Amino acid sequence: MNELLAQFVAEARDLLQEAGEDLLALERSPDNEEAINRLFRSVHTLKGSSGLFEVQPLTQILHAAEDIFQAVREHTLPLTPEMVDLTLKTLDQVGQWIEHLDQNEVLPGNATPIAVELVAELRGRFNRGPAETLVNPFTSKADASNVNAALDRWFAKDAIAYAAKAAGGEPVNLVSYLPEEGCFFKGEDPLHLAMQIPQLQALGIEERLPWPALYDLNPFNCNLGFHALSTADRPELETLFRCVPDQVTITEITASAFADSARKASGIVLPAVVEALLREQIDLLELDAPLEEFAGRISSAARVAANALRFAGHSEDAAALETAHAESLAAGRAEPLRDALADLLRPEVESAGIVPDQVALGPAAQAGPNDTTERAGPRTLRVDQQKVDALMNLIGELVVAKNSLPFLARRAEQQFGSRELSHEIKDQYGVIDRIAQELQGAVMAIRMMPVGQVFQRFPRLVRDLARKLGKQVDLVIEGEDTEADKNVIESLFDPLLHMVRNSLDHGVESPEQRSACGKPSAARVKLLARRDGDQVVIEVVDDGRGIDPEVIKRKAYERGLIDEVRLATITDDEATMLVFAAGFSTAESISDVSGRGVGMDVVRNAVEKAGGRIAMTSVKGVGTTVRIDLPLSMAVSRVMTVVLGKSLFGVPMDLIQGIVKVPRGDIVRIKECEAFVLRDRVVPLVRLTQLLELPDEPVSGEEIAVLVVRVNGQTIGLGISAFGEGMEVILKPLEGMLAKIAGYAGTALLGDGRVLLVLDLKELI
Amino acid sequence: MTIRRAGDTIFLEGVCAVEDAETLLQHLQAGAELIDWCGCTHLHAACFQMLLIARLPMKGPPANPEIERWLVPILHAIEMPSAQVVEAALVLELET
Repeated sequence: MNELLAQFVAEARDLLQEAGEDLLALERSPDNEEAINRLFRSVHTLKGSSGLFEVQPLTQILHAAEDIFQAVREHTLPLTPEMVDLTLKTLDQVGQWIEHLDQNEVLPGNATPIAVELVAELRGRFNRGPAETLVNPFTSKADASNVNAALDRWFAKDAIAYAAKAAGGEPVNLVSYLPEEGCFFKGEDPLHLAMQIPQLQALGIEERLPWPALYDLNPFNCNLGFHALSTADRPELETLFRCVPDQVTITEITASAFADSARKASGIVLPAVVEALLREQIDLLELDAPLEEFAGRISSAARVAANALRFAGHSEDAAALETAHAESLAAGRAEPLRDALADLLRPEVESAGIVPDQVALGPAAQAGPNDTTERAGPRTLRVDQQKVDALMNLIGELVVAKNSLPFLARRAEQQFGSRELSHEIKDQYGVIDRIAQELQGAVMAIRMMPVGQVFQRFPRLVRDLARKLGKQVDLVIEGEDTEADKNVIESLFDPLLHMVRNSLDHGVESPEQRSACGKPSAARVKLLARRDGDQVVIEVVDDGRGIDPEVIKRKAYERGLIDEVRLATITDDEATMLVFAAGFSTAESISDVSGRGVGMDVVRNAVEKAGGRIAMTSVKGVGTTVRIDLPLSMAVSRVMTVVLGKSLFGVPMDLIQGIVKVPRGDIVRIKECEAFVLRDRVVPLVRLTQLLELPDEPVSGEEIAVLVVRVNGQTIGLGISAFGEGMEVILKPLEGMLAKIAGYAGTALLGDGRVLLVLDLKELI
Repeated sequence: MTIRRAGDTIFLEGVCAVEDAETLLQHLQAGAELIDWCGCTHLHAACFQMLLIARLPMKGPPANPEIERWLVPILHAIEMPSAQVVEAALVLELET
């Protein structure tokens, strides 16, 4: 994908996310000035950047939303829940299109009608003044959606600069006058009228439809559209056009927006993405480079910058940059190119030189460019995840290669009898080991993301759900800064979603029921995250009706999940855990929120797949807490190696509860099954050779080694011939032809070059 | 007569009103090289449209400073793609 588009997509996702949050914050506290300002800025920036691409429908709906937010910001329009619904819908639509852009680089085919409908809805319901309704915002020629684009299109650069000077920091009105086709017959002279605009600063004339050939031309059809910049007041302008109010749009351009355009007209304001790219090139040039790399580095920086500039439509700047590039190469110094780049990024200084009066515009004029520099400011890199994964894999290989050194040391000592060499190898191993570990830690840190990334989607979800269910819910989020591996974070969303849905649907009572129980009518649902050793703990806590173990027991029995004996002996805590059993649901009816009896089962599977555990505690009438323990990182797995004959297998460490040696005499045979007694409990014994359909091993010794594992909620003894050792491995899933083989979680390379097959016991047993 | 023709030159003089647009069009259709608007004091939008389409060299400045101030830059800056299309179509039609 085009680099600029990719950046736009990434930026848009962030901005949409921020905008969504701010909108919700604003709904809670409508006086939150900061939120509305930020919201407006996000939507404004997004709209601005979208203008770079062929995505008019997207720009249009953003523009309509921006108008609403502006009205809200100026307190001319109160924010209603319906309005929040509608603007959220708009943001959702933008989000969908952004994803579509990401996949296909174009908007979906139905984008235009959707946009027309949405804009009509947005404008129709929350329109501010009559003047705006009158001109169809979709006649592209009249589209004032993007002030900059409009100015660029209709006025020459020097005209804009001239008008900016005349305006002297005051707002400028953009008058768009589109006379009707037959106006000549009414005795109107639109040109005369346009030239009479008071305090006219710039006039642009466009043809509305492409001109027909001279021979087909009807000289009495008016095909002109007029666009004028005037510093006169709106009422004055309205008076002039009082006879044709329906053909005129008057848009006020704020001083800062206009200053932006004026600056852009002088060719130096660059889109934020381009600006960021240029900045990166400067950084690159400022690094010291060995002489042999110098030419390559200069050339690549020049190429990237020039391409970006051309894309943004600044071909002359790009050409100038290439001249500077040649100079740099000739001089053998980076300065000419670096300075040329820096000049492009210094809009304030230059434009002040061209239009001296702009200095007098003060802070308002500065606000525009600051928006963009702020975004380019944070020194973060957006890196394709694959690159980090590649790095991770390489480090994995390094760890494997490193692990072969102790083998070498042993050989040096045992085979070649050189104890000294062996020691030296071990010393070196220590150094490499330390570096490798730090390297691993550093890459892990890159992959770490705050849990907030997942949590931040919930305020919106909870709001929508609560509205749908007619319940009042306050969502409290704590510990969103807690970090975990990207994969872990990503695997978290679906389980959390199910849990929060369940909480809202089953846990939280209706406001009336709550009042009857003496609880506040708004329920409180908490999402908590914290770090606990090498685990991330996530909790979903609600203060709803809780779970009645008796009901669970009965339901579980009715659904055949437990038998009568179990029904009689099961403890309340164990009963609570039954909600995680497949096919369990307590809801009487299936709603579209939850209750299909798959929810918690799916949750448990997803969590376990990510190497985590899930537990639920509940007090009837007080609330429910679901706790998820997840590993910080999934990249490294701890396994226990198991020797079977000559082959080596790995068993994931998190499943292992203990290792015991069982005397052969203590093994009991129950029909074709074997079992043994462990801490007064009968534990079934399964021979790993049988599970893997390997030939039985010859009987040797008095005892048998048993790995006690907990799989699918049962404790099982795995009979093996010998224990290996625990180790950390980088587990790679089976791929290609091998992916079809069941029973293996993946493979890992050992230090001595052997392949370790890691078993997936859940599938095997 | 506010619109008249002498050889390849079309003269706009005095107040060029809406009804003059047709005459102007006819002159343009007949083919011309130059438009002289030195004497023009008022130009109706209908006539101005014709100038936009004609894309002929203009001899000026027009008598009315307002016209000079606002319309000369627009005629100078004509880069309207459709205007070029018109010209291309014209050539074709002349050939056939």
